[in-house]
Amino acid sequence: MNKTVVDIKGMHCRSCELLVEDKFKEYSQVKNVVVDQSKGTAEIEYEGTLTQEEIARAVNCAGYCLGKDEKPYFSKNPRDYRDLAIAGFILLDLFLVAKALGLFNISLTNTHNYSSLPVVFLIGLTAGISTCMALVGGLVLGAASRFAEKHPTATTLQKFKPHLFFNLGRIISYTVLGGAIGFLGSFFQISTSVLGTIIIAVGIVMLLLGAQLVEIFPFLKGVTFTLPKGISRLFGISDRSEKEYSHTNSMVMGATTFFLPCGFTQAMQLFAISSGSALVGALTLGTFALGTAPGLLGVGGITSLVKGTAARLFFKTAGIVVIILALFNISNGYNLVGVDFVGEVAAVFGPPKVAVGVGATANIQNGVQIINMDQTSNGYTPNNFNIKVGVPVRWIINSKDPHSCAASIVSPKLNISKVLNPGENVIEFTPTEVGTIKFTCSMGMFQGVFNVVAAGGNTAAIAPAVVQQAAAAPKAGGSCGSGGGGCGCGGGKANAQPTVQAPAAVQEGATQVIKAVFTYSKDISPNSFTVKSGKPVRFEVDAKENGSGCMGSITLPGLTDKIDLLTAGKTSVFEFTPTKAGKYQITCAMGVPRGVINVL
Amino acid sequence: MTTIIKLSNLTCPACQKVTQNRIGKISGVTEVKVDLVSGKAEINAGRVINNEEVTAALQGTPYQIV
Repeated sequence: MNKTVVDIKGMHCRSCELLVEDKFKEYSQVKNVVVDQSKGTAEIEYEGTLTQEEIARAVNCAGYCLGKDEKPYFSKNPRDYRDLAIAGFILLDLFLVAKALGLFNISLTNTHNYSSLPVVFLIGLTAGISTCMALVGGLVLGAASRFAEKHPTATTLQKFKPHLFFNLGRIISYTVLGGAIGFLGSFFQISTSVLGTIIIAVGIVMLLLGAQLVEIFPFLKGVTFTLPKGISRLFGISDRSEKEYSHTNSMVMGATTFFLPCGFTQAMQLFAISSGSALVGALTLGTFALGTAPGLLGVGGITSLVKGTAARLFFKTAGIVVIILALFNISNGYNLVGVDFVGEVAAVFGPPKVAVGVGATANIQNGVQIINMDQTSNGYTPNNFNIKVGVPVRWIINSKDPHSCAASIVSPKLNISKVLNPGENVIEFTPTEVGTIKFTCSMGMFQGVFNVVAAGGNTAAIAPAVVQQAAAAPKAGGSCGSGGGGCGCGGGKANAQPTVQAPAAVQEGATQVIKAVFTYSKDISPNSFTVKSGKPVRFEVDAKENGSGCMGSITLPGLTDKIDLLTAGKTSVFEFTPTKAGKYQITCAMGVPRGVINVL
Repeated sequence: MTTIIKLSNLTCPACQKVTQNRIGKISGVTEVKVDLVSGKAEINAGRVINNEEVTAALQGTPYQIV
């Protein structure tokens, strides 16, 4: 038995493969032939001899030519670029319309917090018409067309059933597996560099998908890293879509999409892991999957409705969106790995949003101190107050944006943990000692403070301290959420973080020792250090108070994989020996920068 | 004698060609014309061609008789 592989150009579909295969099988000496249109090859097994002329004749008879398909790096068809420009223009229009309608505020400012289920649902909706549609939509279509083919007389409702089962399977698996990873998250923690690498890998896959969708890179067409063939084959998904359609298969397909790394899905899974709670994980991912359902249910309809030019524009527009999201992923991933890749770019997209309030003094009415505060998706305004000890306080919080992180308010000192209702919420308490009472959102992103002064004390005297507190507030802007892509964390890295330069490292034998103190209001202080490379470094962080939310964890990407929790009274010690000079960030476990170590 | 059947899943001229080739090999068939858009296949043969024979000829392809 002899075997030969020949290159064939011009094939573009399964039928082309069949045509060529049939032609070869007409030769009696050919025993088996496998034609692959994506590779542009034919593998021929034959007995005796098979001449080049015979091969060429078979290929030509089938209507194709021998040789390699040329796949230039850039398309030479001007129409592709014109279409791309139109797609970009459409996208810009959509962007402006969405902005005018305020849709942007919903999807971007609120994505910082995944702990509120309505927000998770909204993110799901967004994902369902963007990344998840781009990645999972193809599968849905596959299953649906399979069903339509087997049941050509099916009614529209019957044809819709595969979509329903697919999404049902998806929601169930997200809930169950979300609970599982939430539960497991309490035992293990992925190191930041692994996390960053995963996110970068996802970004690269998305970049490839986007590049294929915009269709100006013909050489990428042969790269079968598209979802149905590449990743999904790994999980046996594509095998299933090839098989006979059944409701069970459709459900299983939906269920396995849990492992498809759509950016939003990743972010949700990370959140579930970091929550360390089976219930939170299950609820978050279940709600997210539910949110993606409308978009995914619609994809079949939309994509089958758009045809010809409209379809090309549709996919090109989707391609641009996917590329943008991919870049966000990659930037966030790099941030986690410890490379300040696009810090300046990210700064443009994530300006600090937290308004710094000015210390407000309570009005006293009928012996009660009245405090008025607004809560929006950007935090609390004003966010610091001067109150007198021993006098009852009536704290009126006007919640203007109930679907945001800031709507869930906690104050350990006051023993308050409350989700604000839209409109006015009243909290009453009486301060019993002089000092400060802090409050934050449940993720620790937004903060505020009461300065309790002695009755009859001069509030003006405390003003400098108040300003100090206020200045510290913006540091956590964007801590728990993500950049515009909603993929991973650390998008809002452009923090208005005051830099406090530390004195030179203290030498303890051969070890350079640098020390910082963590407090709730000032975060890591000092937060800028300089050490020499090649010599061991010990970085000690003395936590005076408990950290909260994402900012309760600390790590040094690029220097060490260790992640430590900031616990009151404990000192977190990081020991490492920097080998390369450069700027290394001190971040929370999710990659939000909070300081820097300069290695000389 | 002409038999007319309808095929599903024809998407491109290559599909048209494959179906024409395959059906054309059924013994007794003299001419096959497949219309890509309607999926209609006109089979001229010296005898009656039944659906089973066509199905067998299209074995291993995505095309089916509707």
